[in-house]
This record gives sequence, structure tokens and C-alpha cells, in this order.
Amino acid sequence: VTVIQTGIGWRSALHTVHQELGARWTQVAGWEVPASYDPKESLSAHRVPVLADQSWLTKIQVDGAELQAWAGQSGFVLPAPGQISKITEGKFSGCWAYRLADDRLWLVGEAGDREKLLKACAGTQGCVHPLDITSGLACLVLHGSQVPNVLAKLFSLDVPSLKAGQCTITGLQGYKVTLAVHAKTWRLFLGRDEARDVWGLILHNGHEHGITPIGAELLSQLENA
Amino acid sequence: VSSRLSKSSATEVIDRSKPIQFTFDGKTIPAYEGDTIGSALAAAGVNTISRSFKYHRPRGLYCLTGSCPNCLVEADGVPSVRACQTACENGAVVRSQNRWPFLKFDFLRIGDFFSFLMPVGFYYKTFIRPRFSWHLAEKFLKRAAGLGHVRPPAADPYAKEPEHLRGEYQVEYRNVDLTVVGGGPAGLSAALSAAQAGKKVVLLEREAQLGGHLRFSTDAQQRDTVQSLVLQVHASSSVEVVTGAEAFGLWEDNLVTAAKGKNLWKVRAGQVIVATGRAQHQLVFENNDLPGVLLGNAARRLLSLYGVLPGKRAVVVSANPDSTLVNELKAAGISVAAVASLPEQVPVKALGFSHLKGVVLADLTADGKPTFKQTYECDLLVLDTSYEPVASLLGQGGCAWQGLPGSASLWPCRTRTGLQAAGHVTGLKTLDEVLAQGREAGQAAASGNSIALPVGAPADPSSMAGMRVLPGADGKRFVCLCEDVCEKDLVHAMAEGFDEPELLKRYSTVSMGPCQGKTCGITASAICGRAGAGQETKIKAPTELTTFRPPSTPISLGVLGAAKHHPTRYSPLHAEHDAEGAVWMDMGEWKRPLHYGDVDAECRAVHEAAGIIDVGTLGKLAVRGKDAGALLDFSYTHRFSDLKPGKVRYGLMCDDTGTILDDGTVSRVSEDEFFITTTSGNVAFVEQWLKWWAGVKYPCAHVANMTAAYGAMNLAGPKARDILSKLTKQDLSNEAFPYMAGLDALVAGVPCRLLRIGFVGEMGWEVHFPAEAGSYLWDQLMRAGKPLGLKPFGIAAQRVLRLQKGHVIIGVDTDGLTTPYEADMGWSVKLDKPDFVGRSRLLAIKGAERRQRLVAFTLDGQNAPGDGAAVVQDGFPVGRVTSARYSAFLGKTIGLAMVQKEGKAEMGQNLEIRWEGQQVYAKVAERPFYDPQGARLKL
Repeated sequence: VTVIQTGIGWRSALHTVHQELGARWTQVAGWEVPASYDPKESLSAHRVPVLADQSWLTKIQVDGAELQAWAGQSGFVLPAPGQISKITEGKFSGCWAYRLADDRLWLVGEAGDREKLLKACAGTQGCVHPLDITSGLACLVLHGSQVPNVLAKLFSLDVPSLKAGQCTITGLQGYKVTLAVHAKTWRLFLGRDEARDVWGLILHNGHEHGITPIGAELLSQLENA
Repeated sequence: VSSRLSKSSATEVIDRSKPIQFTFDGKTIPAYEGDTIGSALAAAGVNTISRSFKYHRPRGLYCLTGSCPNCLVEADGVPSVRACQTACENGAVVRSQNRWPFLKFDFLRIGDFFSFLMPVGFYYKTFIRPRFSWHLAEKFLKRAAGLGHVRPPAADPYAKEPEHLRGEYQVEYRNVDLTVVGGGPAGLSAALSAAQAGKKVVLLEREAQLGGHLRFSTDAQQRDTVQSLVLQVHASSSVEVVTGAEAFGLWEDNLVTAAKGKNLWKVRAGQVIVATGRAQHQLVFENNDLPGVLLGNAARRLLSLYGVLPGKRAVVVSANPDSTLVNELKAAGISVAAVASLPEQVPVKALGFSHLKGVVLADLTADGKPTFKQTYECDLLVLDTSYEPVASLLGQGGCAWQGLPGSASLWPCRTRTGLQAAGHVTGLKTLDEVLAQGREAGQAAASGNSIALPVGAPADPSSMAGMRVLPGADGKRFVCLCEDVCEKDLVHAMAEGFDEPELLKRYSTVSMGPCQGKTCGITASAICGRAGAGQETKIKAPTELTTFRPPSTPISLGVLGAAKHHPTRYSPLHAEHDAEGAVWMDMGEWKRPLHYGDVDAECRAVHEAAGIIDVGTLGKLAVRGKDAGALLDFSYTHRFSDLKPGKVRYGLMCDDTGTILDDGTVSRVSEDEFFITTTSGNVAFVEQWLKWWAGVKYPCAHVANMTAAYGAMNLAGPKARDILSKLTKQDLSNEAFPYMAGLDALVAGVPCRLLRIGFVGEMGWEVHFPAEAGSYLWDQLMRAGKPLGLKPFGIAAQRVLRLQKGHVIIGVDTDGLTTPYEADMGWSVKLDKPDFVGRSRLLAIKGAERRQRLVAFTLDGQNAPGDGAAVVQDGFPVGRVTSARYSAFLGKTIGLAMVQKEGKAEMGQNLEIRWEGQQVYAKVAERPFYDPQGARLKL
């Protein structure tokens, strides 16, 4: 899969949803990204759970029985199945590694890392197959202490028992979802075609907790706070 | 006249300072906050609340625990709500149900007087001949019998909301260490002891308050004991208390489902303790269903919880020598006309037509024969009988049953690992025993163990039946209040050979109503067992009850549906279609444009200029690895390992019986990478199917679902090349890019995969693109194409165009049994391949007579038969129309039909087609109907 040219204005599956929310737009590596919806959005205003779209994150799926060896050659240590870790060495340094199964890994990086990561994957030998799945996967990010309670309404999975550093593939109201727990955020990855419906479901089920959609600027502040 | 006690008591749950009101059949009923609909109706002197299922007999409050069907009403439009369990809402509109025209005068009670015409097994014996008689009777019976009606709302209040937000039904999930069902003394102590051991507990209680029957105990010390437990449970941070939650299902892996209002609770736990308590059992005697006949605890509940007098003059039938009920009634000011002590004295008949007027009591001789009979006038008959367990959940959990000495019931004796019973449900009697057992069960659950239940004895069905079914044979002696099944119905059914509990249940419908056997299940089994006791027959003793299945109690379809969110998938071009004025249709989970206003114009554009359709819903799979070609050779009937990079080939997939599973195209991207399209609805299946075979035989073949990653458009028509050429440097000539070629190229700067294929019969390209570029690319294509006549077209036009070409849609023109030969697609089966899924079967049936065959037909005029219309020959169906459309371009109706081998469908013959009362004659024709040489595809 070739990296698409930048500068045209790539859109996530939630583009019209962001428009309806009155998004102020910015560009991130060619993607049209909602910077904020409300001029009053601020850190102090968000004591409630928040929901953001981060579908532009680069996502590379690597399949194969020789995954372990491939990671070694690429200069990083694979996390255990069901775990996530930040890669600090090698050519994928800076990415997150999500080990979804013995023979399946996701590399998750920033939108601007897409070309770099694909180049790093090029020329892979043996029974290991990297594939750019950025286009097909939407990523919804939740932040806030009430997030487990919001998600517990949507998943039959025991969400509150999940710890930071874990990832799992599970079902959400008829959709297949990959859930990754970071130190401050929860990331839900799901099919792009399903994102619009799931976005609505999360807002609906999080209503009693005051869940609020936020743009990329505030999400970045919350992640780095 | 109000039957409300003037003085409040310490056990009341109503708030007399907060009066409210609702209407019942238009009449205003005063109530207090805390009242149920049933208690408020009783306080207002309303004796008859509903009419029975079959005979339309009047029914009133009976159990007050939600177990019987006697108080089902329609509340605020929701049918079959249990009045005794449903809290009063101020301003609620409550209606009686299953009566015509009025509750007080129900004309349909005529069935009660002609019940001899409706013997047990009525449906199996009647309306057999002539055959049409059933269809005539069915409509009447549906109206006459039943349990209320679902009323569609006058206006959809959520019409403006997104589909997924409609309705108020929701699901709550919990994952805990222990689920306790029942908030009585045993459940409370079990929950507390497990919580004290550090376990996370969910406590489900169906009533609005915790405490169980002790809430209305006359013993203040017992009330204090349970109140103390309630406070401790509420104070515990480890116990989540859910009141008003009716647990109705116990499933695999200790999943308990409960309905709480409009919420469905799904609680999964390591351990489950069922502490659902016990209930008084029924007594079977003549007219035992009259309003005014109450179980003992129902009378206690009315008095103690709601301050309502259940009657003025009572006869009490008691099986409990220590019972304080008589004193409680007298203390409330009710005159007690007589007290009959079971088993020496029994009621043999309740008197009255619409309400209890009196009771005939009889003394019994030592051998159980009634001797001296005496009639007592009364408006209340209280059946203070012995107890049976409330054990539906235990039954669902596979519990085994036993008798206990002197008991008229069956009790749990063994449960499976992870499931325990505690408290009165196990047959214990004293509060101390119950509290101790609850505590032990909670501790055992915390350590992953189980407690042992009291050891009983084999049940004696004759003795059990004797304690429940009183002497007498006259009149209607109801066993099943839900389905109006009397004792004699069961006796007759057994005489006809239905003498095993499961058979008896199905034939007589006993225990198949809303109460699901809670009132009558054990009685019916005892009657069945009594008939076979001591005989060398196949009749079982009632130690094996009929199968318990969820839901154990009536719950609304809304609650069941709450778990079923209907997923909706959106194409990356959704907003663009909206802007073009698309009329939407649901196609599986996808939203797809049906048309843009003028189907004929859309078809014409494809033939004369160019059309563009969103085909992004097609399944798209990437298959990579050195074994990829071999995997596809094995999974499809065609050969792909010899496909050259840059080429596309049609692919048909069959199972091992040679039945068609799916089809699509396979493009070779590089030596070890293929790109597959599948039908929209089958991608998940094909993905799993390929992964399965890859796992079994081809370890270095990896399958990835790229359906959401790529959007796709089919640009087709004689101007397609001109339009696409404006946006790409790729040479699109026939020489550089021939039919059935597939290449990657930049289109308007977007990296796309172009496949030159033609489903709609005109030259065209399927353009697959990264989904995030969809809006941009659509805009570019429309800008380039509109000056040349480009129009978007929808599914409606696509269906006409593909039918003109005679292209088959798998799943529409084929069914779950169709082989490639029957679908006239034998050309796609390469039997010279060494092996592939279905090869041996296809080899065997090749050349054999086909079970059915797909034929094309034409029809004059525009009246296209509906899909599924019958193909008829000599009055018998010999096939079905799979697709038919009127083609304005061809000026006739065209279609495909699957005709069985018995049907005559040779070229030029007539096919008789019938649908919805219409009959037409079509002519079998050659397909394709349009461009048979395929020249249009290769322009």
C-alpha cells in the first residue's frame, strides 16, 4: 500500500460529525483534523470523560509466525500477547507496539510517521507481512476517571479490571473493537465504516457521566498534562 | 369504597403524605406513592383486574409476588404488566386486557359455558377438515385468546433522533465475583459474608426493597434483624444492590440476566447464589380461580405493606398450625367466618360468579373422602398453604430435586459447580437456619466452594398431589391459571397417552403461560406422577420436573432487544451521496443509495454516457505470502496460482458439498499478493474461511480484511475512459489496460487500484481508493465527468443493468443448496486442478441430472413479478423467480428463475408465474439479454 499524497485533505469517517459539532479545523499530515469545537474548551473545564477522534494515527499490522525474529531484527522487544509498550529503540522508535496475538502486532504511530514506518517495513523477508491499515481503522480516544464506567455500559467485558498497558479484542454492541489502555487514555480501534455509529453510542451511553467530545488540541494537552 | 386501613403501620411501604392517582379503564383510582397498581386497585375495591386466557373468567389478585397471571394489565401502552409488582405512576393510564367489550361484562365468557366444546388438545383435534376452516377460525381465536395487544405509538417521539438512540431500553453489564439473586435474609447474609471476604458482589432483588418476607413479619425482632442486614449491605462498598430487578435467566458461565424497568442487566460472576425464597403453593378445588381467593402471604402483603383490607369476611384454610394469619386478619378488623385446618377439613367449592360469595368446606374421612359439608358466606378465602421453592433459576442451572418429609413440594438437592442455593429456597424453615446457611454460602463462594444442601428423600407424587389437589370432581378445578387448564384436562390428556410430564405439558399447555409453571408446575407433575404411582408404566415420578428455560418471567421484547444494537455501516462517500439526493436503503448493515430520483435516467446514463456507483461495501481482502496462490487455488473453484500480476479473474467459492458459498474477483497484485473482492454480506465469512484453510494447510498465507480501508466506485459507460483519463496518467487503452486487467495508478493524485471489469455490462473500471480520500476523489470524478454526462446511479439501476447482462448475484439468484452447474456456472469449475474444496462432489455431479436450473425469461409489459414469485406447472409449484425487473432500455421485463427438474423450461416455452394473486406467462429466453458478445465491455 502506498502512502497517499498529502495536502489534499484526507478525512476521517467522523468528518461530518465534526462538522455538525462546529469544528475549527487544522491540518495534521494531510488530514483534516478538528482542533476544537468550543472556544471555551480548556483543561479545567474537563473534569468529565472526554471523547476524541484520532483516526489519523498511523497503524501498521504485522502478521506472521516469524514475528519475534522480525522484531529482533528491527531492534525492539515484542510485548507479551495482550500487552502494549512504547518502542524506544530501533527503526520503529517512538511507536506503540500492540501485541494482539502470538503472530499479530500493531505498530501505532503519529500521522506524520506513516511514510517513515512503511519505509522501515519495506523489504521484510520471510513469513512476516506488514500491512498499512491506517485507512481502514478508526481510532476513538477517551480520557477521564469515569471512562471505565462509560465503557462498562457498552462492553460485556470486565472493563474496569483492565490495567494500563493491556490490550484486547472484544465486541461492542455488534462491532469488533480493539481496546488499548494507555496510562491516561483508552483507545478504541474499529472499522472506519463503523466509527460514526460507535461514536454516537459512546456519547449516548456516557451522557449520564457528562461525556464531552473534544478536539485534538485539548486531547494533546490532556495527554501531556 | 376504600379498603385502606385508616392507621398506618411500621411495615407499610406507602407514603400516605403523597397521594397520587391513575386511571383504570377510564376510572380514576387514588393511590399513594409506594403503592403498586394492584394494591391501589384493591384499596379502591376493584376485585376483578383481568380476564382469563381461554374462558375469559374474571381474575383478581392471587399471589402478590408476580408469580401468577391474574393481574396482568396494560400500563401506559405496555401490555401484560404485572399489576402487583408495578409501582403506581401518577397519571398512568392502565387498562384491563383480554376482554370484550368490558372487563365487568365480557361477552367472550360464553366460552366458559361451552367449554365442553374445547377439550384438552383442542387445537390438535379441531379445524383439521376442511383445511380452510383453520384459517377462518385462526383470526377469531387470535382475537379471543391472548395476553393483550401491542399498541403502536401514535407518533414516533424519537423520529428526529439518530436510529441508535431510539427507545429507552439499555443494557448494563457487570463482571463480579459473586451474584446473589434474592434480597431476603439468606441473600443478604450471603452477600455480606462474601463482601467481608473481599469479594465484589451484585445483589439482585426483584422487589423495590430488600428484606424479603420479613418486611411484613409480625415479629418485630425478626424485622429488626433483617433491617440491620439491609443497612450493612447498603453500607458495604463491595456490594452493588439492584432492586426492582427481576432475574429471569441463568446462562452458561454464570451469566445472570435481569430486567430492571427498561434496562437489561447482564451480570457475569465466578459464583452465583440463588436465594429466591419460597412461595405458598396452590390448592386445586372447584372455582379456585374466583376473585377473592388469595394465598396467605398475599393477604399479609396487602395488610402489612400497603394497609389494604383484602376483604371483610374471610374463611381461612391453613396448613400451618403455627400460623398467625388468623390473628392478623382479626386485628385488622376482618371477620373470620371459619378456619379450615388441612388436611382434616378442606374447601371443595368456591361460590360466586364474578366474585367470591362463599365457600363450601368439607370434613375428610381417614381415607380422604369428604363427608360433612358446610357453606360459609364470605368475600375472602385465604389459602395459607405450605411452601414450595421459587426455583426457576436453579432449574435453569440444572439443579436436581428431592422431597422433604411432610412437604407437598420438591426442593433442590444438588447444584452444579459455581451455583449454590441458600435460605428458604432449600426448604429451611427458621430464620436462624436461613441466616446461617446464607452466611456459609457466601463464605463458600468467596473461597470457590459450595455448601451441602439438606438431605431429603425421594418424592412421593401421590402424597404431594394429595396435599395440593383436594377431593372433588365437579366444575372447573384450575391447575394452570395462565392457560385455563383444569385437573380433568390433565387426566383426559393422560388417558389419551400423554402421560409423561414433558408430553403432558406440550399437549395440554399446562405451565406454558406467563407464569412458566411457577404456580402450577409442581402440581401438574404431581398429578402426572400420581396417575403412574405403583404402576409398571413409563410414567415418571415428579422428581424430574419439566425443563426450565429462560425467561422465567414475562419481560418485554424491548428489554430483550436492548442487547441487540443494530450496527450500521457507512461508506466513506455517505455525505457525497446525501448531497446528490440519494434515497437510502438498508442492505445488511450498510446504508446504500437505492437511487437518486430517476432509475431509468440512471440506467440510460450508464448505456449512453457514464454512471458511477459506490461499491465500497464489497468485501475486500488482502491475501499475502508465498502460499497465497496455493491457498486461493484450494479455496476457489478457479485456478489463481497461474494468474499473472496485473490480471483479474472471476472467483467462485464452494463448500465440500459443491454448494456455492460466495463469488467475487481475484486480482494478482504481485507474485505473493492477491486482492480479493467478495459479496458485501459475506466478507466476514470468506475471511474466516480463508484463514481456516490457511491455518490448516498454508501457514505462509495471511489474510487481512481491507473492506473498511478501501472505498470503491464503479465508473461505467462509453465515456468512462474519457472521464478517468482526465485524472490519471495511466494509459487506459485496450492495449495497455485490457478487459480483466488490474493495475495500481494515481487518480487525481490518490493511489488507487483500478480493475477493468464490468458487472453492469458497459466498459468500466472499479476504482478502489484509500477511504480517507473518498470525498476528494468523488468530487474530482464528478467534476471531470459531469460535462460528459456522468450520473451517480444506485442499487435499483445496478440491479436492472446486471440483470440485462444475466449476471448472477450469489444469495439472490442462488440459495443454500445451489451448485455451480445448477446456476449455469460450470465454466468456473476447474476440475483439472489436483484438489480444492468441493472438487470430489462437483466431479461426481458433473453431467448428472440437475436438481434445479437457473433460466432466464422475458415478459411483455412493465409488471415485474416480485422476487420469490412462484413458477407453477399444472397447478403445482416447480420453481421460483429469483430476480425480475422492468428494463426501460430493452422495453420489456426480464428475469431469472430457478426451476426444479420437474418443471418444463426449455427455450421458447412459457413459464406460468404467480405472485400476490397475479398470474402471468413469461417466455424462457437466452441470456444475457444485452450485448451477448460482450463487445460493450471492450470498447
